[in-house]
Amino acid sequence: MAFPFYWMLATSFKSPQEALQAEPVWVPERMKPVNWLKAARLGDSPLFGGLGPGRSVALFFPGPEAPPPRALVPRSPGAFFDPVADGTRVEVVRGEGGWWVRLTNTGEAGFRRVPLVVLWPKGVPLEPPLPPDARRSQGEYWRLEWVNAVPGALGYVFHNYLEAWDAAPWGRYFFVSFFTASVQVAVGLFLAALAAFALARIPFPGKEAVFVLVLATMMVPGEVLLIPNYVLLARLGWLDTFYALIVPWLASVFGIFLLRQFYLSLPQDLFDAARIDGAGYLTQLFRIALPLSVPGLVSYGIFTFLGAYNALLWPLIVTQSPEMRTVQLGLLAFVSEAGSDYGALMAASAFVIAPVVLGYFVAQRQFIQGIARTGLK
Amino acid sequence: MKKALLLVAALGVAFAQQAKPEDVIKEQCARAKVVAELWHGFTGGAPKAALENLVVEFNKAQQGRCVRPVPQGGYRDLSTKIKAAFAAGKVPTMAQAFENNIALYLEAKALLPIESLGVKLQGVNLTFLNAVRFGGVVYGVPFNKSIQVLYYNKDLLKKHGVPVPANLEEFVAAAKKLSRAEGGPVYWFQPDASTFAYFFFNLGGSYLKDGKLVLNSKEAVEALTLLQNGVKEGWAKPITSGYINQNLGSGPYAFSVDTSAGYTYYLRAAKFDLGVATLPGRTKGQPGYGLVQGTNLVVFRQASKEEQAVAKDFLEFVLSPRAQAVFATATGYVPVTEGALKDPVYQAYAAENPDYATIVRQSRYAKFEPALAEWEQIRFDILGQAIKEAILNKADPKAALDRAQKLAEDLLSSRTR
Amino acid sequence: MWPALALLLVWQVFPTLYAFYLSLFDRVNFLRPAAFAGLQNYRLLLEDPLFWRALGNTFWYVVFTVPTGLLLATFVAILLNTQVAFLGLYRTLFFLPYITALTAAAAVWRWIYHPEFGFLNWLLHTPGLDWLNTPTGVFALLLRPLGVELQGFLAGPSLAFVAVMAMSVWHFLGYQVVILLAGLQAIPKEYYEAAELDGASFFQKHRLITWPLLSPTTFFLFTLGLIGAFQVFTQVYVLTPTGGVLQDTLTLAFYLYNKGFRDSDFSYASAIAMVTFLVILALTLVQRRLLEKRVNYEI
Repeated sequence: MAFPFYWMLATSFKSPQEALQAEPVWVPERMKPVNWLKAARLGDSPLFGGLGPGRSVALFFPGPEAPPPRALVPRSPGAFFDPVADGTRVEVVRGEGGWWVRLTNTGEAGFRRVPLVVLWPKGVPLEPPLPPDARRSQGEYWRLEWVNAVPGALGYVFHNYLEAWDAAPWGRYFFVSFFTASVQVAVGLFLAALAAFALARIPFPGKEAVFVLVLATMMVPGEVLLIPNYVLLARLGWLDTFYALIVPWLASVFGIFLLRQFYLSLPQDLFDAARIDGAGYLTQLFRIALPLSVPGLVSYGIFTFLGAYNALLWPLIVTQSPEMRTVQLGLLAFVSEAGSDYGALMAASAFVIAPVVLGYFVAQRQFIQGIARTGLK
Repeated sequence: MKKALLLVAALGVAFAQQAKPEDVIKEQCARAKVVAELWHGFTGGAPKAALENLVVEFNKAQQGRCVRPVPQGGYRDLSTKIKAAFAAGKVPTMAQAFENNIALYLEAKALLPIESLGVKLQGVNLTFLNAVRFGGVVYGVPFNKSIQVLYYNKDLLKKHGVPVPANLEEFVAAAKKLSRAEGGPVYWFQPDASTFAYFFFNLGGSYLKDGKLVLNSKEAVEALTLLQNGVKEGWAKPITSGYINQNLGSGPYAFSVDTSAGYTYYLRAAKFDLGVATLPGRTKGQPGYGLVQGTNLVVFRQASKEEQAVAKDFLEFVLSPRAQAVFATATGYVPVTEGALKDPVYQAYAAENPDYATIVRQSRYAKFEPALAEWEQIRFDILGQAIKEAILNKADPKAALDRAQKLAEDLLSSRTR
Repeated sequence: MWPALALLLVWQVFPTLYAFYLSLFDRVNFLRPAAFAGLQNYRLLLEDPLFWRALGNTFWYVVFTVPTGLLLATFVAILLNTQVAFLGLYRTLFFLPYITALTAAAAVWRWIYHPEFGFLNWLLHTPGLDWLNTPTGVFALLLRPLGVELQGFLAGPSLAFVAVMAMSVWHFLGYQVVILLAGLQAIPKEYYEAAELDGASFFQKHRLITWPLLSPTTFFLFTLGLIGAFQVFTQVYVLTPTGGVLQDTLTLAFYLYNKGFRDSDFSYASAIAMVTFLVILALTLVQRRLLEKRVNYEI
């Protein structure tokens, strides 16, 4: 049951070549402590790495005098101006028993990430200072690639997470997701409480008709509403705004029924007593009914939050710009962006589900009870 | 504890964020008064990075104006979003569009003729330009045009002493020989309209006969049968999940006919020595025809006058030799102007890496798919399905293509959706 | 209570009517005005092979996942109801997939199903088996060695679709287990004790006591599952974005999305939506009729 989670985490620590193996790699290089020490030695800070202005880092490759290896810092594709590639001086110097590849930051700003490519002659045994992230054939050489030659221990281990986080504005995505989910819960609760109370406790003309209408809407599957709501939003000019993500979901029949259940179960005397004291319906609701139905509110809150956070289809069709994407859409886009970089994709999946999983562990009982209650009709 | 925090903070400040092009553009456009949006369908990798770097460079020289590229998913998602934008009345200034998309947008008269903006089009590859000419008027600027090329495994060919095939006969023979030697099919292909187009065009076929769309001509059946036999005889391997470069490493690979835009992806994925050659054609003397894919940039009429002015400047920048040189060498797309080939940056790259010259040479032998408004639906849902049925479900090629022809005719005459 | 009612009217009631209205026009795409076409879209729908394919696929999906998921969940719930050590841990283990967003879960499963480097193929020693891109029906696959060739609908759901279903069952198990557990706890212990005194076996106990007394809950979950399964979209979209190699994982919701949002034919898509609505309505009513009698509401 939980195996996919283990697999997701394991893959999130692998380099692309490591992930794409027919025989699964059970312990990725990034999880081996011996490599943490190696990575800590590279870079200005043992934890975060990096290369400050004027500083240099040297990587040692044991090997014979001839043929010599070559090294270079690859340019970012199509860049007119690449500060890292242009600002790093690469020297390959013969040392005792091997070759030193020295990278010096000749610029004025510090570099957090310095990619490195070393062309190592084929046929010569290789003992790199840090396991390379990729190794491919290029004529007479093996082309060894490091995504970051100055990682530091943490930078090395969590590289995929950093890369995935940098690849898209996740901060914004999380904000959009949390904001829409919270507003849906808060406002939805308020509206549902009002409606449920009215249906449960307040006699008014046409109550039966309204009740049947509400019941009927429960029968309609979501697909039917998809296009008309979309068209309405387009006409209102609300496409690609928070209104589109939130407003259609504020009135929830599920919430109304759930809370109505609660209110019906409360003894009538409570309300009669309050009415004799002169309390209006609103006061009755807020002072008496609401506090007694907290479990129901919690239940609705959790269910709605989960639904809003995990929703995909609706946000997919109503948003156009990346600024309005929820984390789910961000992840969906990332699935095609990451391509075969499954490590980064798994890392992204991991931090997308992290908030909900954390929330679950913090409030397990409420979660489970809340969901269980949705089953009681 | 405090000391550690300070250290961390100091490190954070000291290390300038290697600003990603996206962030730089956000900054540039935050200060701009006129923002021209460019919706594109690059999902990542070198093409997206190259486009963003291009925009960064352009924005630098603009005071108070900027271009903002907005990724909308893949190409099909892009055309979906544009159609949705029409519904909402919020269309961007520029967008990528295939020739068949242009035909669709012209139905709503939504595009501006490029020359009416004042963009000079001399020196642009005539083949590409003619493809975006509708009723004699040019409606798009060729932007990221790619040509099919032959990718091959240098290590494997050297191992068995097989020369790079120069015509279709040699190609099939080489594939058979290598497959037998390696114990597995070595010609990898995706069963889709693009691969089909290569064989179709080089067997002498054409989609339009007297202005009518014909999917089941003699050459079409021949092409599909050739592929189907390839699978049966064991020298061709259909790749159904992901791109061909995403599957490298799962068996012996010698050849594939794929878009030049995949060049950087192939390089990254291949552990062997990658070679690029012109396509095997009918005869040994001339390279075969390749399908031109990739999009053009269009400008929408609904954009404001200021945005249109920004678009004009951007398009001229995109067509400038330096921009074309940098973009093409970073991605594998074909430079669309003659001037680009004379640019020193391009020549430096081409000297180090002969693959670029090969791509440019191949681009002289190019064919297009028909630019009908319904082509997108036909090529994926009708023709693509027929090809998959023949290759994967072993359906009879003639029957599958006849069925496709009928479905296409029904769609074009509005008898079906 | 008026705000809620107003919102409901605007976003749930009127849209339903508008959807029907839209479906009466010819190819609405907002690029140019559309002509009134009456029931033409419905007529085209009935002759549309892709629509019947989507209907068939969705039918298989419902038939496979709803009963299987429910039975599996009941079994697990019964097991968990006994005083087992680490109950909390097991409960978490089953519930975790449900709270994981379908998108993330589908991304992980897509990776597991990868033909060359996925874990499943390594586990089963079937390298190269492309789960998500095999369009042959499972019935056809199973019966082929016996010399029987099944085609079309009778060939069953494709292997790719079965892979998607497996992921769905994995995802929804937790939710059903939690609800069933709550239902199980309402059954008094004395009944089981009495049965044990009479010498009842495990299966007899559960068949004669648990199943009937749990029936309100299972009925509820069955209805919910039915309605939900007919609208499945997210998992299919993320696992097989093209709808399967030969359109074998195309579901009704997916076809609706394609026609409406990808090909921009909003009226045709609305027609699909209305037909789906009618199908769900019909099935729910039938199910109520047939099964409600067997549900015991008393304990």
